[in-house]
Amino acid sequence: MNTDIYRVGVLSVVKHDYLPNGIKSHPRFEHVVVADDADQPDWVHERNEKYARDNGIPYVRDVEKAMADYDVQVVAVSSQAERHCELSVRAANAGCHVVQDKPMSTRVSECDRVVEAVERNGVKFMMWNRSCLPAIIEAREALQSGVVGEPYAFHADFYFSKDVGPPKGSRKPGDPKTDWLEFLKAAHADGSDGGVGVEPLGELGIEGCYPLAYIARLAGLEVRRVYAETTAHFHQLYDDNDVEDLATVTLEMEGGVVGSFSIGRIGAASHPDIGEIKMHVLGSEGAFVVSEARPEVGIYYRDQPPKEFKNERLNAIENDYLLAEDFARAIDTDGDTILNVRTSRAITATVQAALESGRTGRPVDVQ
Amino acid sequence: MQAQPIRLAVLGCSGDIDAYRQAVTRLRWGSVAVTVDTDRAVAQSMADATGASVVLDSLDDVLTQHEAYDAIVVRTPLEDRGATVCRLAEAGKHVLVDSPIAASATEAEEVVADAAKNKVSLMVGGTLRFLPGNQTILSRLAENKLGAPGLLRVHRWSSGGGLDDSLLELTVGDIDLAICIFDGLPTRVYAIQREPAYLQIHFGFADGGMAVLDFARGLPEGQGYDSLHVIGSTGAAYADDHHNTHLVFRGGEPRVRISGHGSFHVARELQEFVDAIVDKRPTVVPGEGGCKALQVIEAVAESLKSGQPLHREDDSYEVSHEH
Repeated sequence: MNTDIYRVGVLSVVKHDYLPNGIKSHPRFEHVVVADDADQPDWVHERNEKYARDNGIPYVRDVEKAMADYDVQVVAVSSQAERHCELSVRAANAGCHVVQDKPMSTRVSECDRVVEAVERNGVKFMMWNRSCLPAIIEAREALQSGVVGEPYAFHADFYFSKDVGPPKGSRKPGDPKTDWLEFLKAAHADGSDGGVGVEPLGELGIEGCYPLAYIARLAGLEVRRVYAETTAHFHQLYDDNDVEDLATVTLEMEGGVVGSFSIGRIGAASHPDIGEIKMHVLGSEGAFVVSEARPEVGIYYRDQPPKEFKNERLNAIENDYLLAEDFARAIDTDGDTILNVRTSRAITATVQAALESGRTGRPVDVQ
Repeated sequence: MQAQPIRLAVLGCSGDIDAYRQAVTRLRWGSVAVTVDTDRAVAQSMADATGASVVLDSLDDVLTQHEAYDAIVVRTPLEDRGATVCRLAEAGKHVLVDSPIAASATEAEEVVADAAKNKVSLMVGGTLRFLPGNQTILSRLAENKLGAPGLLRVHRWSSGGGLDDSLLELTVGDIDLAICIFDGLPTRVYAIQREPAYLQIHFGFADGGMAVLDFARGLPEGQGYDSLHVIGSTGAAYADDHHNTHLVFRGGEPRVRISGHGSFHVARELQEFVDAIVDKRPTVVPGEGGCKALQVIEAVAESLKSGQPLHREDDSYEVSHEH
């Protein structure tokens, strides 16, 4: 059994730190440095410095120098979304394996650069995902056991019951529109800053990779065509920035397999837990319905804070460990990762096609 | 309040006999007086269950014996449903007719016009609106507890084979529900089908609302699965068989039992029909709603045929061609 410990460089950690912490949860990975480009704004450096300080490792304002000086083998990219691919390409060109936060990018052309760099340099790539949650693992095992026969339809519901600032319609006449970056920077305090960056990102853009990764994991098929409805239904922030917080997407996949997913940042009042997150799968011999949150334990007590989830997931932390385990195995064996660079690129292409479909009201082929 | 209860005739008696047996015991200001079916034994069974004193076996008979009842429930096959309703309306009878109310939107419009011309109440029956879970959701929407509806997500899975010739009856309940929830017709309609038994319908509404309706009829023989979510701007509702399961242990892996909805919805629907007649008010599911659902179903069929979405402009659906 390989027990080598891989040296990890954290390339920018400007949003919630679950990704570098998730990698760190596995004993085969050791954080050795945090790095970013010197020309990043002060708030980026402040967050990077804090993460470095909290973890007792140095912060270097030069990405290439940090990777070289600290003999980095694996990078964890958790920057603003629009910088993900650029940092990943540079890391791959330096011979580093890459774990990158979602979304992969807001542009398919950027993903193509990563695909090229990863494959040319022979390094491993994984986009962060939730496919190692117990329910998804069990669903995959059930499918592989043939319990529903040949699957032909995959559906995912992915609702986050979180608020993101004031509700839609609350901006008074004459008030300025909410600034995306400034709002998301402030949202760092409660960890709801997954879309932080200059470019506004809707729910499809930020979180759409999760349900699509489930479907990719279970179906293992390419999406060929999508039709989508998108809207800003809940939050002023999304409406002000012309991005969606609610979307439904019809999927037409290779081999005539079909599917759909619905996604929304539906507000904290709309579910007792993190949100209704489910998979529905139909097959030639049957079907199954899976709740991503289970197993869970219900916890209720006097004076319970209203925002505290009343059902707590069990083994959710296992997702982090198992993703890291999978990544270590892929490096050790020169194998594939659970969400590799081409599938990640395909997911981004599907999201972009869905956004185009939502804008045009027409089905769009996934490129 | 009128002195005598409304006497109902039931035309088409197969199925739901137990539900009717329970419904008539709950019905206020209404009773079943006449049962009619081409199979006289079935009509007699319904009469035995409901206490009807007159048993008939044809539409002509029920038109002849029009003095025996005040209003009629039409549950006949779809192919002659519209024409049947027209004849009954012309005879001055209030009609509760199973959805879909006719075989096409055009015929449905004729049915509605006939009812209006003859000043009789026309209610669409057999919808999903009176099911207990949907009643709960619709009442919360009406109370504005959930805010503006944004998303309707439905899964309806059952056994029963293919989709051939069943598009209307398979989809009409949920399409009617979508129109009711969003208080209007979808402005965009897109549908995909997978042979032999899968259909997905995707709606967009004018105010940004959306719906995905997923129908599968390929489950192995046995109980089906229903799930319906409504996500509103301030709240959400989840009516899902997955949440309403009981476990049975008999060795090996446990089995699941799903709590059913019961048959109270039949009584609720009949009561609404009777109350609307007694109160001389429109029903909550008027015939016009049946026309709208059929317009949308025809758009679904056209989307399946063309492989393209249809957009609603000037009160009709048009295929949205490539720009």
